Amino acid sequence: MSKKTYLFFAIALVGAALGLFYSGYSTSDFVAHLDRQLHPVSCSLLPGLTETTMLEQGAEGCKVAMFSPYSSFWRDRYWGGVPWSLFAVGLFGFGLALSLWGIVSRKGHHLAVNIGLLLVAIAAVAASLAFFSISVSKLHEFCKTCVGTYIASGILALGAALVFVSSIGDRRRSAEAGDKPSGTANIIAILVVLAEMGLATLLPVGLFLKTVPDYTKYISECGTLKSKEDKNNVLIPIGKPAAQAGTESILVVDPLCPACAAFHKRIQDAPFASKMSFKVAILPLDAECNWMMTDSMHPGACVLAKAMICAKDKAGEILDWSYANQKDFRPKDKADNPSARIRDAVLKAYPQVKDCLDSPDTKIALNKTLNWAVDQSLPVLTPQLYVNGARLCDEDTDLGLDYAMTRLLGTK
Amino acid sequence: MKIAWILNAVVMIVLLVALGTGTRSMVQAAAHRLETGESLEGQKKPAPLIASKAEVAYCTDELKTVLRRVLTNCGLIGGGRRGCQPNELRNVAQISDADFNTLFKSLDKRAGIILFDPEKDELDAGSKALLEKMWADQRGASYFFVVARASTDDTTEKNRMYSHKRANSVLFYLQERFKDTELDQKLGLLWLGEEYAQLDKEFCSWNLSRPVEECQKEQRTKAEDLQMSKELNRSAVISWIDCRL
Repeated sequence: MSKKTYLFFAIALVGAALGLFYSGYSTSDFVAHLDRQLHPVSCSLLPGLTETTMLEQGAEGCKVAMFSPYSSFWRDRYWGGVPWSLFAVGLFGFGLALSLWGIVSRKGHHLAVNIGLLLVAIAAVAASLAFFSISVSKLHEFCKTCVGTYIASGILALGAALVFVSSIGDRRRSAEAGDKPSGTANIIAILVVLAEMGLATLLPVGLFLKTVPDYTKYISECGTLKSKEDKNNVLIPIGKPAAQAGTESILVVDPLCPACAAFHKRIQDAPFASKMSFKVAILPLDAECNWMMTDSMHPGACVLAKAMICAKDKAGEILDWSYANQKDFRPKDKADNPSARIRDAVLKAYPQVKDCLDSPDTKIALNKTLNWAVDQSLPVLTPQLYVNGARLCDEDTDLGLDYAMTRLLGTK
Repeated sequence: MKIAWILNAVVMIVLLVALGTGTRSMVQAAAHRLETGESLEGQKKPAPLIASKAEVAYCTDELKTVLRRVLTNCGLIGGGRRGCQPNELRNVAQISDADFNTLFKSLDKRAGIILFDPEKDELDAGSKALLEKMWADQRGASYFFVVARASTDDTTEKNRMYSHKRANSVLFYLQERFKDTELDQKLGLLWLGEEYAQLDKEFCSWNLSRPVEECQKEQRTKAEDLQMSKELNRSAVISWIDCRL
């Protein structure tokens, strides 16, 4: 084996090691969340060397990627699903082992090794391209750790290609020196390398599936509504008409809560949404109308809640409009109370609610909604989702959503 | 070549063991935290606040005791007939007039006073507006108190009748205006006539349904004081009570 091939193997080895490092970190972050708790996510080209916090803005891209439906598969079968990064760990691990073996054994120029390394590189690059295009077209965010994996794939591919080209000369020289494996030996070697590759790639996934705990008992431990009755008609139907209704689901939301906007969208876009009919219980986290709040978390939410009550069958439209304008409705500084601004915006967009907005009847209706939450002993937080009376646990609103919803809807 | 294959087997075994133990230990650690509730960061998740009725600072044990007695004996708690008459209330509340008013003074920001004309029980426009505003402002309160009174102008019997009618005027208006099916469980009626817990000048600063001229004056003659007292007591004090009883 020539010095050039050694060098190119070293390049492939660095690429594979980097790929293993980044995909290992991604997997570790994903698996840490299988305890149904929130954790900081490593989001850096130097993960492990920088301190991670929950609120780190720079980690947003990695959180988006990890919590997106593209980070794993079989989410309805396993809580969180099976992370794609597990395959990457196996693949890069195999690439690293093969490169190492090629260097140490000085047999790296053999066709089976070349083909194995090239296949690893092709799979890594293809996966990187696929996930890169998802980041661009679907997530609109870049995860730095993922970018590290893309770079590693590129380095590995470069090394593997150079090894392949360089090995052609090495093999010719070996053959001239009398060291030429037979066709059968080559085929056997290729099959062994392919089997090793398959084993290395699938083993982490297999062990993951074997070790992952059963979450069934946790899904139903977050309580139920005390009563499904809505005697004061405080729940506002949204979405499809009741005639086509599926399983009755109640979303407890605050029109100014960013998590509500994101969660509501996820639920509406999810495949299981077609099996559900939605009603909204408004729970403004605004001390202006909500006596349970010492301080307003979302000042001005009471105005929007009243606007929704006034709008009747257009309540869903006002809720969507509120979600869309949340940035403008936030307080500009600590002293700013955006209620008046929100009120003006509501009256401009929905002038038909003008006479109703400040009427005693509207105030009473909103109060009844809040007292419905009291009667049901709901936690004072948003968003919440009740499916057929059973509460979707907060821990299941991200990675475990598909798994939990499949069980709450009784489709499994 | 044999050595190469042996080396290959060693490298692969090391790789597979590393991949296997790494994956297993990560998942098992998460499963352990899931089972025990331990946190990776060592933080405990705070228990969420549960939606509940209001309980504000003025809900002292003393006020709650009196309110509970009044509500129990005047029909709101445990069912029975509605309302408490003046001659019963002294026994029911088991406190003096002055103490009764002192307890209720803590409601000054929450309550309103509906004023009536002499010998009348009709609500004027200002009274209706104030009543609607107050009723709509329930928030987390469970009970709405209407404590009607009369001035000392007439006989005790007539004054009892006026205060009773004034309490009823409030009740009937609320029934008519809001058609609340749960009104019976929320509204406590008390009519005190002229006999118990007359309102003094301190109530001038409360939310009145119309201005009382004498209240505005800094210096008052005895006659003006008497006039002010009469106007303030031809009234019904209305308030939601933000206490869990």
